Amino acid sequence: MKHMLRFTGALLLITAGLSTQLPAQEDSVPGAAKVEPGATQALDRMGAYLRTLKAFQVQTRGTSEIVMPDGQKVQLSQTTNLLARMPDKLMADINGDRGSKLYLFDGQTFTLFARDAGYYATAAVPGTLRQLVDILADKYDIEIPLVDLFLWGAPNNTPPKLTSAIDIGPTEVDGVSCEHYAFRQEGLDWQVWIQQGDYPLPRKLVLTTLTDDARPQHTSILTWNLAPSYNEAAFTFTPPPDTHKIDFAPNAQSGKH
Amino acid sequence: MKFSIRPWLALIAASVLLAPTPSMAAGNVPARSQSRQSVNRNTNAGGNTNVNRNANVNRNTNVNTNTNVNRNTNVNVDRNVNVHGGYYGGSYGGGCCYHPVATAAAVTATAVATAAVVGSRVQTLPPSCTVVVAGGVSYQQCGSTWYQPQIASGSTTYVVVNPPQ
Repeated sequence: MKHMLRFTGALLLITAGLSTQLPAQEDSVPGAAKVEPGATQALDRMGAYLRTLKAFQVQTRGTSEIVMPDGQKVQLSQTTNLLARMPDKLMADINGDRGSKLYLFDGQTFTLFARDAGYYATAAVPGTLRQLVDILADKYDIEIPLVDLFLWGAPNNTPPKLTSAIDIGPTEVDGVSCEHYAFRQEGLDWQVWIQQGDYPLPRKLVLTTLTDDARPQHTSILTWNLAPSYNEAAFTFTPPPDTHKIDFAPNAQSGKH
Repeated sequence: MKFSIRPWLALIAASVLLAPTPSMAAGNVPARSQSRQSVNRNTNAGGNTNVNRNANVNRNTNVNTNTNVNRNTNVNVDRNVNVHGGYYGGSYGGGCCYHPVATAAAVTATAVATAAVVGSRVQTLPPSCTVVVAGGVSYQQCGSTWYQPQIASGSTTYVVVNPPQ
């Protein structure tokens, strides 16, 4: 931990110069942060397995937290039904406190349908799902739902550097045997429950954002179907009556990240 | 920062002027952050969100973090008319008493009403809008203010535009 090293260095200087003892700090607890090889290997194994899936359906139920200006937190709930077929088909249906949205990608066109408002916008994005992730983020500041499922184990994704990785132990998620891991990275503490056995799928996720003192948390429980049935029409948008086509606003931050 | 500066100025003015009703002032400020939803990505973690799901802004002002200055204009105007219309409108009669809250609300209404700056973006529309399609573009006409809906950062938003010709 860079921060810890700097702190320790400052501590030594002060101690040497003034011969005074400073009170112990949380950061200086020895052994507080460690990266267990077993925990990072489990993450790598999960990512590698995700990349072998040709098609999958994931249903999630989850919560997110909003921080008010005075630090009060408000919890919002949502469900996701996501169907993906590699390399270039996606359907994600989101319902919850933030409204109802449909994300569709058929390898050529991306559509986002805001059901409540009756608006949809489309963008020509010929390519793979992996390319879609980057293009949407860059051009329109849009993140597809459960984007991690498409990034873990991807050869052209550089995962954030972990400052701590711990195997918490075995447990169950919805009756499925899982191993529970906890990780720390810059700005984020997160936990994943990975299914034990030959299908190392993420079954639960908890993300704790550290960049706000209130530490808003996101949780998600995932239910997997590795043999989904669907037809091609599932990935193409047909506007319902009384809906209107609108534009995507360009990303104001484009090019800055 | 996704908001233009002019509505913010109006917002600040509203906060100051509405000091007697702090819950209302607080309710008009966007959320300061939200939980990240991705391990691998750190985009869209800002406060561009609208917590309030109520149609009526007055029912739940403490949880309302909508950024729509204009919608609150209507709330304030109503208060002004009801409480103190005669004092400012001149046509109701019977305006009698100086009331600091009502006065503040009246002043705020004026300040906020001018905040419908072309190019500014809001997340919720004022009540009583009409969908108008002109030149193949879908608009929302809300009184004399015209909005063009756009999806920004994945959410439906409305940009104040000049009336279509």
